[in-house]
Amino acid sequence: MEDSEIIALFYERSEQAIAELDRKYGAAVRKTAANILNDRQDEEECANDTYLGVWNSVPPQNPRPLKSYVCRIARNLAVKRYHANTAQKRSGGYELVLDELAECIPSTVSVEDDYTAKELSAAISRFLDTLSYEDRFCFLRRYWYADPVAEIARMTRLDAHRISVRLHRTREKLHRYLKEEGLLE
Amino acid sequence: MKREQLSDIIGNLDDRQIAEAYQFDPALCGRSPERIGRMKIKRIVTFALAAVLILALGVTGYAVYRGRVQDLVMKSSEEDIVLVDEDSDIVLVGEEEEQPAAEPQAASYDPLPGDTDMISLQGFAGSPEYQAALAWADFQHNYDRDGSVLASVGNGPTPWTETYSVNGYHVYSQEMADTLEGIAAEYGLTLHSGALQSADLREMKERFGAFCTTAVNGAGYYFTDGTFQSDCAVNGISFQIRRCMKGVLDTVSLNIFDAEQYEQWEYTTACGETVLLALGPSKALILAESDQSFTVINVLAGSEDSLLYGADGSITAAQLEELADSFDFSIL
Repeated sequence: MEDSEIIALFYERSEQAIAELDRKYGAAVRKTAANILNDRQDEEECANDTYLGVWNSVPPQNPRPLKSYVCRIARNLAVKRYHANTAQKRSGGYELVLDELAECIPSTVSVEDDYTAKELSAAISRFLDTLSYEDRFCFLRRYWYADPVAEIARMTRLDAHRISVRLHRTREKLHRYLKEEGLLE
Repeated sequence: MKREQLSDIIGNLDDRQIAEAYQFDPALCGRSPERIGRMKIKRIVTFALAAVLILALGVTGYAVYRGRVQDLVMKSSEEDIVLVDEDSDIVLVGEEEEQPAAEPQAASYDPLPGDTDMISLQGFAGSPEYQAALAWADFQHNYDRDGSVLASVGNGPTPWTETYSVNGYHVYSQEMADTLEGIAAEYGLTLHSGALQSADLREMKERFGAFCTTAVNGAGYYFTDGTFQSDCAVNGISFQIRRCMKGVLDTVSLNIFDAEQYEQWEYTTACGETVLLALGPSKALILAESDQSFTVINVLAGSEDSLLYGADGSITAAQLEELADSFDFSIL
């Protein structure tokens, strides 16, 4: 079913909308959650919460593209649950992803307000636009979707080691870019 | 910064980029890293003259250095087409050519203005290694242009994976396998022996000798015939070193953008070997040749301080010489 048809079902408040959304994007939603969380039950609850989030926001939202909208909700919910779990010492592989990111955006950076955080997000997006498609894909899969390197290698058919090297170099470039933008000291 | 904030910052990246990364699309690989460029006619004439001269000189050791960066530029036998890669990475020729190149995005940023040059990493023009790499690049460029053969093969392992792909050759049909073998035979070369092996710098040095005295960390891969490549960094300057053994068909090439923009000079390093140094706007090269191998060090910094092309910043001629001094070319 086309995205527009699924959204139309949400606008009609048809419960079929959830089923169709799950059919089309359920695997991606669960995978996004699974990459961040380390608990099958948490993943399933996160998926259900994602659908509820879409149900509550569409309408009035009319998201295009629907896939990134759904994945973003799933990621936000999974991250929120992850931090709650971490506080209870139930952390998963997402810890490593954040550790890698901390290499290029060190903890010495002060993010006092939403404005600075949004500025950093926008700068990283601008930086990603300067990368090749492959490097941008690898970066986003690793740090936004939180995929393991081996999974990215499987998707791109590149050697896992090569992916690691690319990610390392991209993090270095990002660090320099943010410094040049005056966002890092 | 708290980890929650870090997570939020990444979480707020552009929707367009998130959607793009939802699923890997090989067709997009050709969008910016690889496209068709055209060489200047006058450069072809220069190239041809240089090739004749090089053939006349023949090959001796490091002591008599006889080549320039222009002599490495890969010139297609069909018109004047070369493949380019904006990422500055050393890449396996055709690795990103699995799908036909897509049309550029209307609003996309073009970081590769003007002409671009791909160079052979196997040897100077006229050498069998160079000619074989060029012949394979030509074949790949013209083969399966609509991607139908690749589409019919699919994404899984192929009957040629174990024999060719693991050795770094982009082969996915019997015709490609036959052509590769034919090119190797025509130029009297062998294919890489042993599957491509990943290794860190420490293992590389154990296997091939302490070729770089200052680089401590790095990683790459090697073949049992002695060809290897490694990513390293010294004093904040990142570089890739690739040694190609003579007598072996290797298909890796490197985009250097415009060979004419490189300042070039011979330099005798601390180990007593003479190499060619080339300093371009966005990258620099160290070239060394011996009777047994051809080595190219791709320095990810040029004379201009810019993040364009993924360069690390700038490097001076003196710094490039200092970097060259940190290598022991006598064992490469």
